[in-house]
Amino acid sequence: MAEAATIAQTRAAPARRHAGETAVAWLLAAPATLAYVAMILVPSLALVVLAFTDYELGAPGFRWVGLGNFTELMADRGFLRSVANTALYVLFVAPVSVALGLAIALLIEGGRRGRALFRALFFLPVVSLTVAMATAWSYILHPTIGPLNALLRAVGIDGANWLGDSGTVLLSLGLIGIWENAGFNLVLFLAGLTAIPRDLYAAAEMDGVKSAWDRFVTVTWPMLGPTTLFVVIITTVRAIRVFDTVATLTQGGPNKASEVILFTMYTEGFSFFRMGYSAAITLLFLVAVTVLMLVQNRLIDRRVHYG
Amino acid sequence: MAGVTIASLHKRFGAVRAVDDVSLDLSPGEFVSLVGPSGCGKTTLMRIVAGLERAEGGTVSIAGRDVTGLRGADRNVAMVFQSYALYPHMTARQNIALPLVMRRLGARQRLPLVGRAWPGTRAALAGIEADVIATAESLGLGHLLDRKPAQLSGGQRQRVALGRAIVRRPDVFLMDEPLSNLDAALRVQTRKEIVDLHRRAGASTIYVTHDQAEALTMSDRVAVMMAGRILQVANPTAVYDDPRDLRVARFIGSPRINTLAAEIGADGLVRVAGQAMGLAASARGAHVYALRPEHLVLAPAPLMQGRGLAARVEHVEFLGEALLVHARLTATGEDVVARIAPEDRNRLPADGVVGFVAAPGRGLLFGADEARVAAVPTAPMPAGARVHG
Amino acid sequence: MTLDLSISRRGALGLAGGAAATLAMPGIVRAAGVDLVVHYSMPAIFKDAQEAIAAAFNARQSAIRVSYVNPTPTYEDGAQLILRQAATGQLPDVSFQGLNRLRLFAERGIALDLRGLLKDEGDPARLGYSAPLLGLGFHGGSQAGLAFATSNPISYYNADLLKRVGADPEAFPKTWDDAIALSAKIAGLGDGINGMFFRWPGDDWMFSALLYGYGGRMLTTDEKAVAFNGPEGLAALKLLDRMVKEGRMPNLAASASSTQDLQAFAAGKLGMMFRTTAQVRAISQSVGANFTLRTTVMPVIDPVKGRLPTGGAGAMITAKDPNRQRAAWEFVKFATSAEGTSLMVKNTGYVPTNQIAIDNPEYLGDFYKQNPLFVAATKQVPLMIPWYAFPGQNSVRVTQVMVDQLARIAEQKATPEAVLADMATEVTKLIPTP
Repeated sequence: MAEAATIAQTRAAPARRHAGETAVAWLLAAPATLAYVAMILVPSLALVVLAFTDYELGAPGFRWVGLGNFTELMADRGFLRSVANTALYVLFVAPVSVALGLAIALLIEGGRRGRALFRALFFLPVVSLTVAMATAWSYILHPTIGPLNALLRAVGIDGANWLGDSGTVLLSLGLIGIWENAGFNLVLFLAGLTAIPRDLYAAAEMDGVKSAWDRFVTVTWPMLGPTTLFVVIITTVRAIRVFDTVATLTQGGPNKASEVILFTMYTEGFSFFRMGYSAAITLLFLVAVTVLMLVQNRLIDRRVHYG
Repeated sequence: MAGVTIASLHKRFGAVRAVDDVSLDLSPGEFVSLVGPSGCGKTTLMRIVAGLERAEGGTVSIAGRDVTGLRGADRNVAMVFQSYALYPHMTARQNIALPLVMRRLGARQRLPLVGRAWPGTRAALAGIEADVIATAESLGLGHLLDRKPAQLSGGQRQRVALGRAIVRRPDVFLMDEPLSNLDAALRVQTRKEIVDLHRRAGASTIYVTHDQAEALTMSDRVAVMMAGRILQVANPTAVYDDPRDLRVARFIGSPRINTLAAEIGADGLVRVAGQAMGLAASARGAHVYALRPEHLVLAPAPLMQGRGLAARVEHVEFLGEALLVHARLTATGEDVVARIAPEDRNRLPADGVVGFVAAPGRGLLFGADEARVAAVPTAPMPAGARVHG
Repeated sequence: MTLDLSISRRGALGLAGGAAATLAMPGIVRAAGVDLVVHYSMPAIFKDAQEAIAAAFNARQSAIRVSYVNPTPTYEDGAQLILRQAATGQLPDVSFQGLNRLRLFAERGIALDLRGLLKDEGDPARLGYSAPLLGLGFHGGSQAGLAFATSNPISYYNADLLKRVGADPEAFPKTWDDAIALSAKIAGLGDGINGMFFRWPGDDWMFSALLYGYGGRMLTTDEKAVAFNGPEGLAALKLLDRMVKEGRMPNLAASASSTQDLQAFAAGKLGMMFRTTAQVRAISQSVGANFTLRTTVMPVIDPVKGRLPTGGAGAMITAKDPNRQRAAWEFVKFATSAEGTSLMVKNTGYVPTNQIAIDNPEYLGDFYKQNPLFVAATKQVPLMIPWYAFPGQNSVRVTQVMVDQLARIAEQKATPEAVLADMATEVTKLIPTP
């Protein structure tokens, strides 16, 4: 009996300690958990609920409309146009700004002087406020008094109406997007490059890897794998989320030529006050982005982490 | 088979002379260790030989050909790195094959997919595969070829790195502390494997290490380097028993050689704290007398009959195969270490006061400039005082 | 019950107070001390005016203290704020909103119908509220608010460029034919100079200017069908088409926030601009001494039927408590009085709304003598009719559809006929079906 009691006691002690640890763990995790629930989970759930209603901002109530918002979206010229525009924008901006960021990073890394200067120079677009830059861009790309077209005229080229022409507006926004993203990617790539062990380059030299291209293929590119995966995902997300240049420069115009998903979401919700409809767009957007990220991660992750 | 000739190499990093007028000759197939403390310039010297660093002066010749102006990739030199420097995205097979791929295939043949369509690619690839397998088998890696480095143990990675170096039969092997990332047991085993490998491959080898045990056990000759200069190049026995410089004497040997302030009187006898140490020299004045721990002959003070140096035992370390006796000289307060057989422990006096003399013919004499000074033994020791020898 | 009681008491007080409207306020002193919370948008334009008005109002009596919540940067933000606060029950007592947004608040039951309070004041003309002024805040059968600051489109021009093509800056074109011909002449100067820009992007306001100019209207009087797809609408689109074709009007970036036309104008590369008078202050500042800036009335389309849309802000009462509603009414009344209007005009450059301030030169005579650029808009006051606010949940969306369609003409991608037909189809889909 006595023996059994002692055994029970010795067993109970760790159990109590375990319970205490659990409580402390929850306590420590509480701020983050609460913030997550309050800032992300609850709004997301509210969004999902809203997406199936006709709620309008300021309206006293709402009706359930089931999939009504979604069927309307599928027939909404503006929405379909904005999906197509966003896809084009991402397909243009993401690859080019990743490649450009990498190329400039390699040039800066390979160069001997002015590394800090160039890094700061190319990073500038990232820290500059797009809204503040909007006036500058609208002036630079001005069809008649803009410096860009003046420059083109000087070399005998007729410049375009960059932001006013439905044929060039998406291209112009894309170039601005690349300008904004390449510097960001550049800094990430520079960090990735400095993390590559110097020994690998020495080993490659010993192994007879002579040209810069072979060195890039043998060492640099594979070693940048995890960085590249991160950069590609971040850039894709940033490109999909394009909003501020559109809002400040074109507001989706002319005639929806630069309408993008987030801007549609914004105008539906906050200009047209159709919160339910806007929530439906947001929901589709969230699902699409999540799926895209998962696929990207699955596809690339296996190739870049050499475990 | 190719020799290496290094002639008066110079290299500075800022104000630091990393390599300071270094010359070294390796005869074909010779295994030379570069040993020295961290920062002595041994790795820099090796990287200059490899072509990874450019020297500011001097020449490197391999097999009689001056390669000073050639880049590393063109020198037919292989190098094994401390970190192994394996390509983490490649399998062991691809790692070992890379030097062959880069040398035997043209740029176009190396293109993915289309490369195979080029004439001769298939044959070359088959040859590479055969060489890789032969190398891998000789290293016991046959079953690991499809693994990536992350899936291999430290010792296995080490062997892949060796395989990558030997697969293309280079003129010269360079090894930069290849064993320092292995645990002690594996290190001893791999030491032997590298020696075997070297014997089979027969290429001249420069082996950089800070571990004198590796240098002494593996090399044909040992080059002791300090502050950018090579102090002595000699076979392991000579470096140990006959160091030409006090710094070499101090660096080689563990525990460190004992050094005591000595005076050579008008009679030419070397005296420490007034006691003659059984050495005579033609030099006069203040010198350094050095004696390896295993060459100290200890006895309880009464047995010494007034000869030898009196010392008090501070503490005793048990190493298994030996005992290290740490003692302090009564006369000068200088510390000495003696290595004695474990069974002699109970012969140490209870009061800890001992006397010691040098084993016959074993003391070394260095000048104030740390250079070796010639000295000859005088009288032999009385047999009765012998405790250990 | 309570409401009736209070109204009768208010009526009695009003009668007792006698003459000028503002003098009725001492009666409130006995009512209770009320801290009135007021919201407005576009502080860049209205901050000085609002603070001057609140200071004057607070100095005049002690029963009601006016304080402002943080102003919202644009009308759109302001509308969002009030709609959100309506959902969470945190509304201010008074909100100044874009005139064409008042309908939205009336339809959602957020804006108090002011007819009851107005009735108690007796003859609105005595307060300086003309019928057109009241009309600007009357939507869907409800007096949703009172016009506070109003604007209309005017002509801005670069007198130096006019002189360079031999036109007399004193005799600005009175018709669109002349204006378009002048534009073509100015564009002929080359060197990146354009003749004109008619600010069609952003919203339907400037399109209304053309439509109303021909005497047209947006929807039928019963608001059940589109009415702009008649001859007036076609004429309006054809006029826009001619501006592009004959006047060589550039297609400057199509966004409400775009400043490309202002940039070109300020740089002296644009001869004429047609846009709201609300921008006079900002434009004269950006032009500086670059060239001689002049303003004048819009070219006339139809001298008889032609009208112009009214932009600007109106005050609405959002308080729910009757006591606060009465206090709010006192403030709204002061802000739209002759005195309040004068403070507003002097601090913004908008068109005065209160008829007393318009008629009596004591209020603003000196101001207009010193600021001739502001005069153009006042000359068009008789032409001002409400900027039409579409009914139903898609009211704002309709304006976007129109802008998108106008872009097709600006880009010369469709004929006026095709654009009008598409515009009618799309708008029809967006207005409430009976």
